[in-house]
Amino acid sequence: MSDPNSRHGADAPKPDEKRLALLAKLFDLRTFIGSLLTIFGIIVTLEGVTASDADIAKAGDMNISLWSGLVMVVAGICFVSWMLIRPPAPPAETEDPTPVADD
Amino acid sequence: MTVLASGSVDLSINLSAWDTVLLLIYFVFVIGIGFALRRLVRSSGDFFLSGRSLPAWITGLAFVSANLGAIEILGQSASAAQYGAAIVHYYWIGAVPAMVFLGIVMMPFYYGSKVRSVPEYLRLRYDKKTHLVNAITFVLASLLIAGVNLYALATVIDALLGIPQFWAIVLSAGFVLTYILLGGLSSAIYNEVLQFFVILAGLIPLVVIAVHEVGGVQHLFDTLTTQKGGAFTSAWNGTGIGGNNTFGDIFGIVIGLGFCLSFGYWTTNFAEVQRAMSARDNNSARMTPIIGAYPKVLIPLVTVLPGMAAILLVKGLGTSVDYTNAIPALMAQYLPAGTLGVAVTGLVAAFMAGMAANISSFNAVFTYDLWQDYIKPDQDDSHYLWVGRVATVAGVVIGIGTAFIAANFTNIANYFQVLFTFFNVPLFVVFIVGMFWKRATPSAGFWGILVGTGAAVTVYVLYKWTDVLHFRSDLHESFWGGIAGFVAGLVVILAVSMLEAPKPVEQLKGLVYGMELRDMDEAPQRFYRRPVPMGLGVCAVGAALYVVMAALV
Repeated sequence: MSDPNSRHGADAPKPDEKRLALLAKLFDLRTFIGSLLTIFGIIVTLEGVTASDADIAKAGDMNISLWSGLVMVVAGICFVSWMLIRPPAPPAETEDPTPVADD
Repeated sequence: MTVLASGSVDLSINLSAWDTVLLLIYFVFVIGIGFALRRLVRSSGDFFLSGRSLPAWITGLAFVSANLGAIEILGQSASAAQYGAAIVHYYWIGAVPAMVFLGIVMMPFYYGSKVRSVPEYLRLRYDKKTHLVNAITFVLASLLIAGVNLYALATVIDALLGIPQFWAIVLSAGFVLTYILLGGLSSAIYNEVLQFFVILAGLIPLVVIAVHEVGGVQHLFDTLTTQKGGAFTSAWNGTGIGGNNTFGDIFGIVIGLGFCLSFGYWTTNFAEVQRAMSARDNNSARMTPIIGAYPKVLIPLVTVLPGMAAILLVKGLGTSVDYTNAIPALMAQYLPAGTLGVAVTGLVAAFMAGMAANISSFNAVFTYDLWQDYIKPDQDDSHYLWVGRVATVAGVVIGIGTAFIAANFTNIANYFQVLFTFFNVPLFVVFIVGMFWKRATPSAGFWGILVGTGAAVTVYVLYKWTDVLHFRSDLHESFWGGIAGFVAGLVVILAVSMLEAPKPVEQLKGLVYGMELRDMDEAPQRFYRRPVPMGLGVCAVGAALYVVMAALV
């Protein structure tokens, strides 16, 4: 994932390489985890903000959704930052002529 | 104990619209991972072993997540409610040392010999009948456990959401099928890591509330000690000879659970070892179970602890509410909108992690160890990739069928324990002797497995259906069944090896101690990438947790 040899020498990145690097980032596991936790966190935080008194009483007088939502957002941002700070190596598929990903 | 009888007590909840959205978003991610990884599957090696390319943190978390299925979460919290704090033994003296042993001692043989599955090692080290008996029992056990997991989930989904069991089973199995078909083992592993975080996000808030409601951990232990006696809240009290800890006696716990059962399960179960085999190099493979052991040592906080808290918080637990429903009952009782959606998603994720681990290891063993070795050898790789995909579909369909059979068993955890007592312990003897004793002969493995399994079954039968053997509980029986399987297997391997000509030494390269093929020129790693210090470290954490728990009583 966070392989140091992610850059291909000194030559300027070609558009194709840029695209590969972007795809590798998009399909990195840390992107999946980070974005899922962030989305979950935002939704749960909003449910916490709008929690009724009955909701809070049910959870032992804690606004548990608010707190766990915020923690999830922070955790999600950590994963995305980790991915951006140490980006994944684009898959070296020189032997494979088929274009990567048919999205 | 009561039979799982949904309807006797109302566990039903209403998911808010946004909670339902959470569940749907999760499903989109699960399938999205399958599509993202589809382009990487070009050979059977990609499909079954992720092209041996994954970093250790991913395989390590997948290693622990593959075991964190619905059976584990519901079963271990149920056992904690029934047997008490001693259930932590499954983690601290059971899983953790066994995982460390796998990483430090056994992984070099599995990874260095480049075998593609656990049974394949047996084919190379012993002979075809040893190989076949392991491959077949593994395939059957995988499908059985996949079914049990599926049934566990369907029961909970039915009780909580009112979705009919049939549809819960078919829909959940359909998602697992889709993402494994698309992305193979990589897809299963990526999803397992994602599921690991979703499961924790679902369980941690529940534990926080439960602990808060019982007035703190210390108060929980004090109250339960008064109500149920000191043995219930302690790991070791009452485990002496003639003691009253229903979990078992100290010898059974240390040798039976800590050594025989746990080493048997964690070191020979291909559903686990496969995760380590898919790592990108020898060191990452060895680090896989050790990295997994660090979260594993803390899992009791989200299984055993809420299980014990449920005794005080859930009315009628053990009578009108089955122990298995300890966590779902807590969810229904305490979680508000938002957190509830995450927790339901977490349970679904836990089920998927467990089922995907079974299916992705089943299809590899079926394809490599049965189809390629015995039915259609010497075909193109694309043929085996195709067979793997067909096996995946067939495995899921059979798993669905098994789910309906599993409805007849009450305590899921006990049932699971019994299963691996029978198969895994003798298997572990065969592996460990084979790895360290050159003289072990080809058919010794087969007879060791057969007689060892027979011994474990005999102990079980004598306990269950006769008055010959008495144990404190089913769990206690399983420890001694494991010991019987180990001893019988060992004696038979030694005896058969004495009577037979040994395997020629040149056929043992890479398979036996002293003839490893590992890369000895590995660059010196920093301490957190070295198996031995990290492995000893996590064992120390486990020991420290025992001390912390003892201080609570």
